[in-house]
Amino acid sequence: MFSRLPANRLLAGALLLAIAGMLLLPARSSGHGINLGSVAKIFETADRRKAEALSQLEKNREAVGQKSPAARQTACVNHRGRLSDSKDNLYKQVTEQTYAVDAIFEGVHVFYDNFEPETSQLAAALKTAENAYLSAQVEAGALSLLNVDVDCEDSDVAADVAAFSTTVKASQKALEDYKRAVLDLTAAMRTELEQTTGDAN
Amino acid sequence: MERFNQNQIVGTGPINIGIAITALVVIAVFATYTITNDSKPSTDDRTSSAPTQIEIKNAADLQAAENNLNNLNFDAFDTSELDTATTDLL
Repeated sequence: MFSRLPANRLLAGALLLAIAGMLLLPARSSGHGINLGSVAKIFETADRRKAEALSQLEKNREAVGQKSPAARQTACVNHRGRLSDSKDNLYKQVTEQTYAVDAIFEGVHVFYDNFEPETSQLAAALKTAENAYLSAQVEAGALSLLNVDVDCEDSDVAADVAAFSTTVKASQKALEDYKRAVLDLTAAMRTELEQTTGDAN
Repeated sequence: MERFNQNQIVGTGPINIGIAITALVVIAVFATYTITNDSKPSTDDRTSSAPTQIEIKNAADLQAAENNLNNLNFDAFDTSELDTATTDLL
């Protein structure tokens, strides 16, 4: 499954994820941290996006023609500065927004655990939020793996850029779903609180 | 003809084990250091860049969390520069 990603990048990615896991997992008191299955899914997602981007690149080349190496390199050098800035900004935005939703969900989850609701509706809302959380982490992790330097010596550099772009869009969708799922959970919890304790504040 | 050099295998085995043990020790020391220092927010880069967990005690806090969520906007993820470059780098 990792055939299209170079071994050194996989190793670097694995080390990064291991370090990230050491940094993040101890802080997750609510118990919905990333598990090994999610880490595998991060690699799988990054690999799939890169493969899809390469496939699309070949189709585009067949449709409109392939640039000469010199022309591509000139265009790449012209784009490189703006591309790097754009990628840096997007990566930062996705990471910060994911952290922001995580911080809220952590608090909601801890409150949920202490509250110990017994309704199946709330349990289902929590499960949906946890799944949305994992999806957002997978996209953010895949984006990290695909956040490579713009290599103008690489004839397939467009595929790297396209895979990153596609993953930013997928992250955006995952974050929207994550936000909606946590909102649904908080709304359901407030309703439950009002019914059980009369606490409407 | 011998299919392999037994001396090579005997010679490299302990070296590989040694490298593996060294790597495990390094990872264990790093993990211990990281986890130990996780309780010190002032020296933890993660906590300085990421929002800390929001404490929720009642329905009002839940409402505040909802408001915070509603203020988050993901529409600013502008990939136009990347998409333009993708078509220009065939």
